[in-house]
Amino acid sequence: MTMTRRAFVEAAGAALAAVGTMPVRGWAAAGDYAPRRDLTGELTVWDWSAAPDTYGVAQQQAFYHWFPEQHPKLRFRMTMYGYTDMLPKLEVSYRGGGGPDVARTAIAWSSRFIAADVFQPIDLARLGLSAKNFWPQALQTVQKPGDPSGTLYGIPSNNEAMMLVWNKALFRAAGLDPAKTPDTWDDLASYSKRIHDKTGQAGFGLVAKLNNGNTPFRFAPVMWAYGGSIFDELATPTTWKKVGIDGPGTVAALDLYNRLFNVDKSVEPSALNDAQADVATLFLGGKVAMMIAHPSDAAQAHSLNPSIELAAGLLPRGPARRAVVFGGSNIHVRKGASNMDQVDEFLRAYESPNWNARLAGLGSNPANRVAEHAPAQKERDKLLLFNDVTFEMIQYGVNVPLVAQGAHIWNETIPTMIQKVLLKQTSPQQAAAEAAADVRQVMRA
Amino acid sequence: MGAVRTAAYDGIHARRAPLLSRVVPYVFVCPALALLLVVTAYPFAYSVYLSFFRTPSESMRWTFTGLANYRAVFADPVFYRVVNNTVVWTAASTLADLVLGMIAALAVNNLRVCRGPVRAALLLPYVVGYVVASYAWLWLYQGDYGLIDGTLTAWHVIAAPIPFLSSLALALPALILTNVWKTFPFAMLMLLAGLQTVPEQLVMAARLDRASSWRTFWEITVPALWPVLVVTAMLLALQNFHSFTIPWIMTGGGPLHRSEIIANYIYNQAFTQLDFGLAAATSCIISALLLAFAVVYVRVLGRGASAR
Repeated sequence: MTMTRRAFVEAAGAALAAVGTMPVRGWAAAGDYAPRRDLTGELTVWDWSAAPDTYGVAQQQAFYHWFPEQHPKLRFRMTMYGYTDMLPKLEVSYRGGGGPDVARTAIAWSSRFIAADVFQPIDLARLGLSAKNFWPQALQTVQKPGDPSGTLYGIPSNNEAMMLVWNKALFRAAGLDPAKTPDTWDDLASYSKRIHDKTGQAGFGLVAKLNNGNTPFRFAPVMWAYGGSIFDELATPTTWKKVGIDGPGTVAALDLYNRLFNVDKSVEPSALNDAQADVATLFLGGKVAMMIAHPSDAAQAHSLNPSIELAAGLLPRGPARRAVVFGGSNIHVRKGASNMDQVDEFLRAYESPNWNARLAGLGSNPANRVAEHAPAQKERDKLLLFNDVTFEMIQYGVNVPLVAQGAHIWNETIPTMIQKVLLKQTSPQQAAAEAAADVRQVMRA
Repeated sequence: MGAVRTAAYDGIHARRAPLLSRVVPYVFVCPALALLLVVTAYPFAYSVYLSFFRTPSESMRWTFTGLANYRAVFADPVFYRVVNNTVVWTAASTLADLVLGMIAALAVNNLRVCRGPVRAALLLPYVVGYVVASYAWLWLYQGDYGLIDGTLTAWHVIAAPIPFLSSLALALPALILTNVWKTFPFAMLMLLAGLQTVPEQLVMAARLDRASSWRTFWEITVPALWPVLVVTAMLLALQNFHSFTIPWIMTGGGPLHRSEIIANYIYNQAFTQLDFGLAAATSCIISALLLAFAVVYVRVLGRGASAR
């Protein structure tokens, strides 16, 4: 029996949505969260959509339908934004003195609001949770940099790490073992060259577009692997005050990018203008052999092109370490929110193991690690591709710059530094030095 | 009785009627004026106000910093690059729109058969959404497997693919071409309407005098079309100046800001770097430049109109 791609995608979407809505009552009855049905008052929540993760969207819809149903006397208002809309909306509303009681933000956004004193501290014990429930890096993202008190200004909602995904057929065509992941970044460059020489296709999908978050997300793991850093994020404790982006580790990572793009020419020529979506499209068409992928990318690749022979492994290590960007989101409570009973009830529901597992969708993992053993996680495991790999990667997670000026450094400074090298405008040393000057200037300003 | 009017009545009426007729138009204009104040004047005034404040990312409080934001904008080398890109983008796009639009309008105007279908086909880019057009052209230009590179390579015109969108020299021209494709039908439409108002007897007279087609075009058609051309050029220039979608989707302003234009630059300041004060200052600078351009343009337009 043959099936068109469209029919497959529709069927897969319908199946995922069905899985998403079907077990709501069953899981809720598992006893990990008992709603206070007599809760009154008001609660305003802003969240952002898990789209295009069909399963994740179905879970969000189920949760935001279920929660007010369990609290019939609560006036519950929820607004769901698109990912890119959420940050400016929050910024404008908080600056205007308004904003929701509760908001979920990407990790990279948390630090600016925490620095601006917009969020109020959260007491995990009051929610029946403890620090042991969460990854240490996740807790770092909801703390004030250098604050010895360890006060938490939010609660992690979901966390993930990226992995290396490859096309086994292209590996075979290049005479490489399709089951073997490149162990080091140097190996990856050699693999990439070999694949390109033997097949004519790009060995590795390089993402180097300007003003594009995907670019630093994929460069930073290489930089960290070579011992480089933007600030002192690899040190304990991290102060986020010492600028280290001009170090030899960054230069080595830029050298590797230069080797891939200019020397070996083993990556796609359009790399300077490619975001991850472009690389994923080329990967789907069998034009790119390896890419750094988000957990949901593999599932999406499989659903869009079931014939592609996918394999996944840990991101390669460098001379200093194996590293990946520690990703995810946090939930925050607006400072001055007087309806803490209602807020706590929402947080308890969101962080309850079954809901926390489900709300992580296919693109992430539950932040509450108790959820790793929840019945919902077992159901979710059946839908996830290579979750063991991405899960194993989390331990190597390093945080993005947890400073208020992080957006500029992440979206502007790092992509510009990479483009200068790839376009041969400056040497890697000079590009790194200019990036350091830019970071210092931004931090001074 | 009704026909009998006293001198006193006439005097009062004579005084009241002009007053009423003076007031009534303002009453009718009020709703539109109020709307304009709310949606245009207030945001503009607020932007000017905001431009004098530092709106730091690490604090929700604003600090009055006078002209510091303006100094920061003028100290940023990227700003000059972006202004230069915007001038090139606007001038090249507008000129190409007018030339292509004129050629298309003349061609359609002279068609004897299939005028409707041809006009519809030429209008097609105009009705396609900006996002759709941007993605379509993105894949046409795609350096690895795009149609343009693929065709040129297959025909042995080029030895290796040209990375149009990641080339420092070619990215902006490539985007301008996309923009012209998208916007020239507007010029065609305006000029086609204008062509249909050119007095036929003047053209006939020129032909009787054995004037060449070229001379007829320059001496008869262009002067008759001048007011339409001026208005079309102004509308296109403003539209092109405010463009955002094509560079945003196709290159994100890269490589190294070579294809970044002012709307993208301001958007990045405001919504990527979340520096609203800086973005407001840039907006004010650009508004002042546009205002100067508009004043000059309106004078030229007025001169053209009075000459006509």
